[in-house]
Amino acid sequence: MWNYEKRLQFPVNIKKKCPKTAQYIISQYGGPDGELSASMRYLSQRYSMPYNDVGGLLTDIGTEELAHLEMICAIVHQLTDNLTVEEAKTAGFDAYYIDHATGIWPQASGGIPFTANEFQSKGDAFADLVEDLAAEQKARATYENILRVIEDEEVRKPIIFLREREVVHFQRFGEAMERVKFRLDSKNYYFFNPEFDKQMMQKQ
Amino acid sequence: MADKTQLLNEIYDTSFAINDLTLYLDTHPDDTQALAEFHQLKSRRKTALSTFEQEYYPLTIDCLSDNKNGWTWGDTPAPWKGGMTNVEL
Amino acid sequence: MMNNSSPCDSQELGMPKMPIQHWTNIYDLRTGLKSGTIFPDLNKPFHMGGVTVGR
Repeated sequence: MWNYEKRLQFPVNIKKKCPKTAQYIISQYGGPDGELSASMRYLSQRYSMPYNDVGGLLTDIGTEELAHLEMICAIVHQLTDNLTVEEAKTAGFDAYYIDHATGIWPQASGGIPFTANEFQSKGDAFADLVEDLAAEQKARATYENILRVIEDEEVRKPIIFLREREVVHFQRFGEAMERVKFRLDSKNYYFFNPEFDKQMMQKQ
Repeated sequence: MADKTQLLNEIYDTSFAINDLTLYLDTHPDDTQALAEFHQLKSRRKTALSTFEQEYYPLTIDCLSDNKNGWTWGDTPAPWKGGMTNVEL
Repeated sequence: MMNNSSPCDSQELGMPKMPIQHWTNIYDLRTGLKSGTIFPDLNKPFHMGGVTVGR
């Protein structure tokens, strides 16, 4: 399904190294509310979604999240490229350096490795879409935590961009939920699960 | 020779707007105004990508033109190396 | 076929609701890219942090 274009969605040009900042930022790669979690969540959920438009949205947003994890990795890479030994010993980054040098590996700021436990693909239309709404809020809040503590403008610009994308995605998942509701009976949306109880589905 | 910075700016600007419009159209498939805007931007982006490939290097595999000799796909600097330093936002 | 739910559940209890965005004029493209959206109605910047708080 994927071709790629050899540029980031938003340019990343960071001239000043900072391994401490890298430790903060890496959570949006491999952390529980990061872009890898988001992309795997949406790209996993799309298969059992019976409505083409909603499945399509999951693919489109899931794809955008892959582009975002790439931006996060670019930021971490540029913050740690050509690190001296002294810089590698920066408190907070030093433990990561021992296992990865300046390689990029998906983990949270606190060191917890990325795991599928950090997302769900429930196979239920409403559970999945509400999970997605929550995921976008968590990602937004994480970017805000980062923005409070980062002063380098070259880092802030792509982070501000990425944070705003979460607000937009939240709106789209909400609209997708409305589109699912539209196909069901408003007297009781939970009467059956359109992803599993196929015999209940009327012709769309 | 088209200005590299101008071309890249056009590619970044139109491409992002197309991305944002795509998500909007996914949930508003009948919005004719959005669709008109989408097609206009798609046309601008296509032109910019093609011009960029001719004068600099291909950004997508579809951009690889028949005129060039050899495998030019590897000519592109990796974007995470800050290769697009022309584009300052 | 239906269960015993109230026939007049017009509030749609037990289910969240999202207002559907309407089309408006979009930002100029460069502003859109810098902001992270082309839609002014969805642009909700964060106030805190950085050298110039409240930019």
